[in-house]
Amino acid sequence: MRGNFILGAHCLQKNLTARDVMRANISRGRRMYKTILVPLDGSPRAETILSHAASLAAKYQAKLVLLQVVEPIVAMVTPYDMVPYVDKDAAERSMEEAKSYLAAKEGELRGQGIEAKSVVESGPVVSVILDVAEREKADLVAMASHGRTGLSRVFYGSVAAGILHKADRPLLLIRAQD
Amino acid sequence: MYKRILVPLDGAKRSEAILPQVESLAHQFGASIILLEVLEPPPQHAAAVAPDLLKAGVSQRATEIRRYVHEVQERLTARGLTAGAVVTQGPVVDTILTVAKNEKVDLIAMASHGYTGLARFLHGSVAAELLHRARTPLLILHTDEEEA
Repeated sequence: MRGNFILGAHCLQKNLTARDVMRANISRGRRMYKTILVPLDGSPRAETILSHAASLAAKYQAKLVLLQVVEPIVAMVTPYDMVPYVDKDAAERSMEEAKSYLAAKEGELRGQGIEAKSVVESGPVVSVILDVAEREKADLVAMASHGRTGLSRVFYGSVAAGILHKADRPLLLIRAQD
Repeated sequence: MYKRILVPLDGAKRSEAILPQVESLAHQFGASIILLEVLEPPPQHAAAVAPDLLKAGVSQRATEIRRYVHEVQERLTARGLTAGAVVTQGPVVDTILTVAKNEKVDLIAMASHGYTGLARFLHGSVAAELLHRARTPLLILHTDEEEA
């Protein structure tokens, strides 16, 4: 038989006893999330995760770690030889941009009463996100997929997919609306 | 923020690894939980070989799954949570998305790699496909592959 064929659907709602409520309080997991890592890339789409992260942080009194990973800019072709070189000035500029961007976001969150800190790192995006998650002992990584438009959107989507396949901790992922 | 949380299970114990987080979120946000188990339709050629055997097998599996899901549901209800259960047949990702839409859920929470072997890989791809297609946020927990 094809299609979505309901074999059984039950919704039970029991009357609670005091003991049940007590047991519930024990398992309530008030500190389930203490540190939430939020990778951003400077785009408004990536920021769509912030309201979710902020709401969780408020409920759990968790700290948010905002992370932007700046990828080293490597020139593939140099005029005189085949050795790729890294444009250090450009890299420093993007590090500075990322720092001030995250500082602004951090300020907004503090304004909402949420503890936040910023981390800017350079390196390959997926592995840096995972390293920082480990270092900061994040118990949740929250991020939007499809953080940018155009070609890099494909790329950023694959960051979420890469994290999805490699992360050893819970992930909260949202698909940013087109 | 989260009022209705959909939790796809796959019948394997490992897929329950997501439950502590779901319980905590449900308490914190006052959300209700909808457990979902999707039975995949048997391959079509199977019907040609032994239709009676197949029918019996499918219905036995369905009974087992229903019992299992209701066990989980009762465990959650006993802890003071509002939990419902849906057992339905169809292609996994489509069915998860349909139920998510019908039940107006605002979070899908699941463990990835709930099965061993080939099916484990397939289950991992469920999470990946949901990431591309779901409009609701996804909470995903990788279960340890070595222990699986």
